Parts: sequence; structure tokens; C-alpha cells
Amino acid sequence: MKFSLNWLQDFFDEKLDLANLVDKLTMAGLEVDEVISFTESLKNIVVGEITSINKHPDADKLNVCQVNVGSQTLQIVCGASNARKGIKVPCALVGAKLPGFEIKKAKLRGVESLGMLCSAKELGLKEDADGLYELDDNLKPGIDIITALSLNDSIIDVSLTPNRADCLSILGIAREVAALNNYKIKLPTTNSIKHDKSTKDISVSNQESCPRYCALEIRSVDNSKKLPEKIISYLKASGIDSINPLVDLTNYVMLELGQPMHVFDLDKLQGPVVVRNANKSEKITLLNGTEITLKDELVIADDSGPVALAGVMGGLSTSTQISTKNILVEAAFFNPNSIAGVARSFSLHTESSHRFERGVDYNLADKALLRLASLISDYCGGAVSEMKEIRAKFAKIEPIVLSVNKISKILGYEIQLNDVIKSLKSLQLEVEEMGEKLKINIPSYRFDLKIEEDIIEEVIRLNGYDNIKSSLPQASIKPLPIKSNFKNDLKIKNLFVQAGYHELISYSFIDEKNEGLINGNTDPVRIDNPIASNLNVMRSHLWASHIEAMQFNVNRGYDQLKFFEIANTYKLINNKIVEEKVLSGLVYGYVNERAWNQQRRLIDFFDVKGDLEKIFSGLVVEECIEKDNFQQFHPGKIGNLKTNKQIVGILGNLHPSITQKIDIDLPIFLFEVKLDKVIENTQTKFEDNFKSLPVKRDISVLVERDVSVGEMISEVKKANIKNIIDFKIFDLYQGDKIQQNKKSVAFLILMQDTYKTLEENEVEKIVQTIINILEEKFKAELRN
Amino acid sequence: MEDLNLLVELAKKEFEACSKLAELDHIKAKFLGKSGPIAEAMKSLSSLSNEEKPKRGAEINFIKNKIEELLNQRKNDIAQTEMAEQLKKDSIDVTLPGRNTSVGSIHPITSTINTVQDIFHSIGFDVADGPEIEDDFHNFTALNIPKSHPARAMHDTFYINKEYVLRTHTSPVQIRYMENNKPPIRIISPGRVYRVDSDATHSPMFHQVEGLMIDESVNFSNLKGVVEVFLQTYFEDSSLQVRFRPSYFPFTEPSAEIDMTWDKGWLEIGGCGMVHPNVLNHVGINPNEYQGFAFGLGIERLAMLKHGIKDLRYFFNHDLRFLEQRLG
Repeated sequence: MKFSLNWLQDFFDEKLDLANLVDKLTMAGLEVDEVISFTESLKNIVVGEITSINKHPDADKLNVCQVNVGSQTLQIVCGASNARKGIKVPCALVGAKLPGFEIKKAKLRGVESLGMLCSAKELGLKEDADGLYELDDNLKPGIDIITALSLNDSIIDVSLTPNRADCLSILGIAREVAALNNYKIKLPTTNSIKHDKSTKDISVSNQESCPRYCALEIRSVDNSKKLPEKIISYLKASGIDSINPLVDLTNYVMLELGQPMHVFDLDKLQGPVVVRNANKSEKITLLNGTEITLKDELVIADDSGPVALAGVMGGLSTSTQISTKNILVEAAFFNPNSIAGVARSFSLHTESSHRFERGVDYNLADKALLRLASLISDYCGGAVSEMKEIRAKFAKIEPIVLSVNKISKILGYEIQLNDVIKSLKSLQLEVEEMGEKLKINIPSYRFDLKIEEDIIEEVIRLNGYDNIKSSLPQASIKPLPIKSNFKNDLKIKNLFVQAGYHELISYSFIDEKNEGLINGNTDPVRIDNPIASNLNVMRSHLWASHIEAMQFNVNRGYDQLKFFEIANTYKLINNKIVEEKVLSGLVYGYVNERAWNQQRRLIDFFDVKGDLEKIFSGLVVEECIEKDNFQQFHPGKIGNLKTNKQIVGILGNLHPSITQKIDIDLPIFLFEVKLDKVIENTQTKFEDNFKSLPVKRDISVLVERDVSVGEMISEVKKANIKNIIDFKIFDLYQGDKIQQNKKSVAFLILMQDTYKTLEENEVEKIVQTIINILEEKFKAELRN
Repeated sequence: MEDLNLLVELAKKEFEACSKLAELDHIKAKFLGKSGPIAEAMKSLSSLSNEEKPKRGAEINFIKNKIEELLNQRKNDIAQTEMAEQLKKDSIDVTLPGRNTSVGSIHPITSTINTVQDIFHSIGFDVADGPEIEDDFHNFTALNIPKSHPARAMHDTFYINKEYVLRTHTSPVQIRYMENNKPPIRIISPGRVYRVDSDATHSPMFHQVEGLMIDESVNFSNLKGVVEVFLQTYFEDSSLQVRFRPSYFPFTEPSAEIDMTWDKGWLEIGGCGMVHPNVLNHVGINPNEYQGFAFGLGIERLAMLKHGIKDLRYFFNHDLRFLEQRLG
């Protein structure tokens, strides 16, 4: 809500102080966003009259003007194309400070210039303007520009919360100012008018959506009259342009009192006026020239069809023109529920829809209509008819009964009952004391007040939120659980950081193209109204986001990247949205930095696998069983991550064809771990097995090249041979020294008994058992 | 005796002239070897009388020991010199950089959330979580924002379809938690939220932390107290002041904007209020028995103020030069 300070001042005898007003409104919940004041920025600028004009001797585009500024005549050099003898323009004198620069005595191409002739843009009055601002010819040279243009005002922009629809008018703001300062409001006076008979039939077919409809006719108006400058400047302060007197006065009363109204050209209305719901596919061309097709919105209609979209905008065909003679003026109360969303559905937002959606005082329609009729007859003449009114029964606003002790119970501090009553009365609420309770009658414009808590807020609002003392709550010291998902996430995050990974936080929505190409999902969860076409689907994996992060940094010269992120993924499974938290990561480029003492090496599968093994204990990587679902990976470099025989994730090399497509030369590995499945991995019980010494044996076997080492290890482990505490590979060889189709695998066997050191024959027995397994299952040959 | 003493002098000279351990062994053999002068002298003992034998034998032993002593001394000297040379040869430039020093980083948003959680954990607030694709009921209706409410327009909601939205705030977690837990309740819920808005100060995805406390008599003054100690602890400034300013949120009444002192002025940092009775009714908590407060703070805002980050977009464009600063 933007308004002129002068207009607000009209409601009070007391002089309003701008700084104090801004502070008080803000601290009462009517936050002042901005104050625009011209009185400072336009000092030392006066009306000047160009009395003579000559070409500059040394510059084609410049003129040398003699300018009468009242007390003297100044020589000013000016380049504007509309500069000519006789016009009156704003003249900035030496010392004036225009936005961005100060006017000084200057020489322009050798000719002295003692000021500057200004455009509207240079004064900060318009966004853009060509040439000098030509002022009214009746203005006297030398008078202050602020006075000349009635700019002696400040524009206050209040950011209103949606509950305070009652403040969408000068009167509403004035009521707050009165309550906050204990001032009395001076209401604008309305001249009484004589009423003629009305002729137009009006009816309302949907009284639930339109519980009140008032209308009157005014005949023989003159819509070519000029309204006083004050009215136009008040409208302008609120951001409303002047159109014609009838429209301007309607807007004026709307801003003044808060009631949106509409003026129809009576002669263009065909037959009776009815308030009804639109029929499907009915059309109307609105005032702004756009034609819309209706569904069942509330409209004002005549015999020809809809003539206004109720509560939003009038129709073009019945709108007022300069030539309009006879008019029908309406003031209605539309139910907010029937107006909500209508404007938005047609991409509209009007002063009227803004107010009706939030709610208008249902008692205001008749008063505002009579005020408007009186102003129209004052300024445009015409004969006003009696007012017709169609009115349903309103549910009366119930009084609120407030327990006095509830105030301190909710607020946590005491306010004297006297102060409570005083605050409420200053808001024009009627208060009746009933023992421990207060009965409060709510005026119809404060429909936001419904429950005791609303009243309590009003009380502290007026007593000052500033006065609320802080205190810490009393509560039991019941401890919280030590383990939580959050703590576990943090532990895992720290492990990744130690392994050199940077945590990313990336948008949950990505480009559908990348969701398909990199995440391998062609049926994503789509956003109905994405903020950009390349952020239009919810991601099913974090990989595409990480590729993007990688590219960003590759473009900045990085060739060694490790990223991870814990975030939710979104999938459609059987048409239901499934949201799942995962840990995901990307490793790109080199293992190590360029350094003085080591060779650089590109990352491979086992670098990343090693990182994951360090972080998740008990992690095993097996051949991927669902390879076909992961076409974005190299089919020979992809594995399932498993713990406790359960698949917990995936690790793979991005498919070379995709790497090519995104123009990347170095290797990219991606992984994903389902966090809820790897959470409990630390050992809580101590295992006492330090009483005997471990024994080590190495064995080396030859197997076919395609035998999986992982399977060899898991087969041995599966056999549960007593006293084996570890069995792992320490060397792998394939090459000239052995058959071409074979590989040599060397294992370390670590054995230990709980109570005694193993004897040689026991050790031999264990080793032989292992060799037997490898021979039987993998056709392994023992090497010497 | 005279001849043997000369031998000591001779050995001493020869040892000193030698500077290598291997050569020293040759010289040792020359004096102490099987055919050396000491061995010869020992052999000649047999030709002496029984009275002379022990005396002469003791003299030879004395000389032998003396030569061995000189030899060992020289051995030590040479070993020490050789070690010193070796050490000198092995010396390195310790100012050269260490190997593979790269460390990762926790994202500043995560570290901010961690700090916030630690502070609230210390005063008994548990952490709660909820879905990011939220249904209309939990994101709006249950929070006292019915279908036609003008506050819905303020939210710039991302819609998946008619029923589901990307949550516009973390407040739906309140509802989910209260549906499943009875008072007393003390939780915070940090997380991602989404609004259709993007510029230097708005991101279509950002993070909020929501706080909720419900008990029999938790009041507005307590709300101010909790917000105040939190901000003082987070910004490590016990003189930081908090001001409440009236505001409006459909799910709280009374409601307030939270301002804090910053750079000699007031800065808006969040919103809060007493949980609206309609909200409690929606989750089956009797507003006549229980009351409490809720508040919401922007995580990015907290991080930006603490670390002096001027542009919100740094958090989400993955620039390593930002991440490597390891702000926390």
C-alpha cells in the first residue's frame, strides 16, 4: 500500500512527523518498506523561462539560453532539442544536487553556463523522458519547483501482511495512526445530494458469492472536466495514473475508504443488470483489451452477456469515455472465496482483486457509493438517483470473550487490565467487563479478529512488542538420544572429507535431458511450474548435478575432483512419488597433484573402491546384477556395493560415450550409497582375541583370467574355516611368465586361535583346506 | 719391554693414518694377527724361565690390550666420521611440500546446520525430518492456510500436481511430528525448501530451520528468550540484542518478525509466534491444555552473516575456490 503523506495528514488536526510515523507503523506491524521524498532531492530548482536562445558559437548541438529565474536572468548552455524561446522549464541553480551530480558554475566549449535546464528524468520524476520538462505556462518564473509541481509530499510504501486488509485504504492507515498516537480522525465530509428515481433493474442470482450489491445512476455527467491537481497527485502517489474524472474519482474513493467500485456507461448497458456465475465458454473483453473465456466465474452481466469480471475488472464495451453522459455506479461486497484465484487464473492482479481477495468491510459499500456519487456530482455534475441495494443476511461477527488471565499465560508477562482496555478501546473495539472476562465487540472492518489470541496480539501490538521481556522456558531435563540419523550422516560426511571429498549442495531439480542421459531415467517426477526449462524435473540420482559441478570446475582449470553429497532423490514407482535419501559422489581426473616427488596417475576403479571401503566397514563390491538398468556406466567397470549380503549401492565408470558427449577427456567415476542401509556399522561389543599370536601364510595359485577374485575370496570366507581371521589378495600377475589365458593370484592367510598359538600341523591343515576349495571351485593350480 | 712400547707407538701411528674401517682390519692383522709381533712375542715366551714367563706374559698382554684399545678408539672415530658423512649426504630440504595433502570440505550450509543443531541440542531440542515433496494438507491446510487463503499467493509454490508441492517451508515437519508425538515437544527441523524465486538474494532452493516447543505453559516471553540465546550463541556475541516486531503468519498468533542488532542497526533474521490453536486442533492437541511457540530462520542468511558472504549463489554453484575455504 503506497500513499501520500499529505493525504493521510488530511485526516488529522495534529501535524504528523514523518520519522515518527514510519517508526510507529513499522513497530505496529505495518512495515514501512520505503519513503520517497522530493523535498530534499529537489532543493535549488526553480521555474525558469527561456527569454532568448542563440546557437553556441563552437558546438552545433548546443544552444546558449537566457533564462529568467525571477530575481535575475542567467546564461545557461543547453543541448535539448525542444529548447525554445518562451517555454517554462525546471532550472537547476548552481548548488542544486540532482540525483548523481551537483550543479556548478561551468564553461561549456568556452561559454559560461550558470545552471542546468532539466528533463523529468533528471528530476527523478519519470523513468525516462526526452527533452526538457515543459511546465504549465501559468507558473511564475522563480518559484520553487516543489511548490510548482505540488511535490511537497512524501510517498510512504507500507508492506501489509495479508490479514490487514482493513489497512488497504488511507482511512485504514489513519485508524492505526489514531490508535497508536491517541489522535482523533477527521472523516472526509460528503455533501448531501438529492436523489432521483432509478430506472435500471438489478438482481443477484448468487447471493452467497455476492451478499451485497448496491448501485445508483447518475445522469448528465460531464466527463471532460479537470479534477483538482491534489486528487491527481494523491492517486499518483499510490501508483495510479489519471484516466478520466469518473475513473479517477472511483479510484480516489477506493484508496480513501477501501471499497473498490465500478462505473458503467448506462447507455451501453442492455436491459437489466444481474450478478451471476458465468456460463461455460462465455467471453468478455476486459478494460485492458484482452478477451478471456470464462468457466463459472462470478460476473456482472446484462442482456448481451458479461459486462464485468466481478471483483477483478470491468468490461471494455460498457466502460466510460470522455463523452459518457449517463452512468451506473456499483459498490458490492463479494465473498473472498468466490474471488480468490480468479485474477491469477487470468494472469491479472488489480487493485480491486487485491482487496476483494483479502476482504472488504461489508458495511462499507453503501457509504462509499454515496461518497463517490457526491464527488462525481461535485466535479462532473449530473443528477444522482436513489441507491438500489440487494442484501443477503450476514452472519453477525460474534463478539470475542477473552479471559483476562489468558493474556499473561500466552505472553508470559503481566499487562495491567486498564492498559488492556485502553489499547482495545483505542482500536475502536467495544469492551465490556464481565468479571474475569472481557467481552469484545468487533467492528465489521476488523474481520481478521476471530479468537482470543488475535485480541492478545492487538494488545501487545499497541503496548509495544518491544516491551516483551525475554525469559527461558522451564522444562524437564530428559536427555536426548545420542544416536540419531543426523549424527550418523555427519560422521560419514567427516570421513569423506578426510578422504579428500568436497561436500556439494545442489538443486533437487535438474534438466530433463540430463536426468535421461546421466541419471538414466526417462520417467521423472516433473515440476508443473518450473522456474526455468532446464530445472524442470526432480532428480532420481545426484549424478547429473555432480557432473555439472565437475564441468563448472573443469572449466576453471581443475583436473582432480572428488565430490559427495547427501540428499534426497525422487522417483515415480507405480505412479507414486518415492523420496529416498542417498549419499552420492563423483571422482574425476587424477589421483594426485602434480608434485616434485611423484608421478601423476589417473584415478581408477580401485581408488574409489578403496575410499568407500575405508569409510564403510564390511563393504564388498560384486559384479552388478542389474547392469542393464545402468546404461550410463561402462559395462565392464560397474559393481554393486554390498554390506551384510545386502545391496547398498553402486559404483561405476561413466560410459565413454557419455564422457565423449560432454567433452571430457579424463576418467569419471560415480557412486551411490543408500544411507539407511549402512547406518549401523560400528562394532559395539569388544572381542578379546589377543591371547595368542597370529600366524601368516602366503599361497599363490594360477586360475583362468575371467575368474573373479572377489568370488574366490567370498567362497573361502563362506566355508567358515575355523581360526581363519583374514584371507586377502596381495598380488595379481598376468603376463609373459605364465600362460596367456591365466592369471596368478597370491593370497595372504591370517590364522589365529582364541586361546593358544596354532601348531604347524593345524596351520597346514587350514592352508590345505583353502587350496582344496580353490582347486575344486575355480580349477586353481597351486604355484611353487 | 722397550721394543713392545715401540710397537704401541707404531700401531698408534698406523691407526691414525688410516681413515677407512676396511683398511683398519688389515692394520689390525698386521699387529694382532697370528703372525704379528704380539703373536710372535707370545710364542717366544716358551723360551723363558718359569720366573720370567708370567712377568713377560703380563707385559705382552698389557701391550696387546693397549693396541686393541687404540684400535677400538680409532674404529669408533672412523664410524662416527663415516656416519656424519652419510647423514650429511642424506640430508633433505625439509621446506619442500608434503605428499598428497588435499583434504575435502564440509559445505558451509552443513556446518551452519550443525552449529544450529548443536546449540539447540544443548537445550534439549531433538531433530526432526520430513519429505520435501509434501502434500497440500501438511504444507498449507494443516498450517491454517486453507485453499483460498491469500497467504498461499505469498509462497510462490512449486507444484508437482494438484495434490503435491515442493515444500515452501519446513513448517510441515511440525505437523508431521505433532501427529506422531505428544507434548512436551521440543524439536528443530532443518532442511531444504523451495520457492519460485531467483536472484542475488533469492534461490529457488534454500534452507530453513524450524523450531517448535509445546508444553503446558510455554509462552511468548520464552520464545523471545530461546531465540535470543540461540542468536547470541550462534554469533558468539552475548551483547547481541533481539527485537520482536508484529507480523502475520497464518500458523501462529501472536506472530512476530525477529530483528537482531547488526552493524549498528536492526536486521530481520526470521519469523516466529505462538502456535495457532487451529494448528494444534489439526494434529489432535488440545489448545486449552497445551500451548507453545514456533520459529523459522534462514540457514543461508545465518551463514552469510557469520562468514561475510555477499551473494547467495555461491552456495549452489559448486565453485571449488569457494568450497576450499572450508568456512565453518
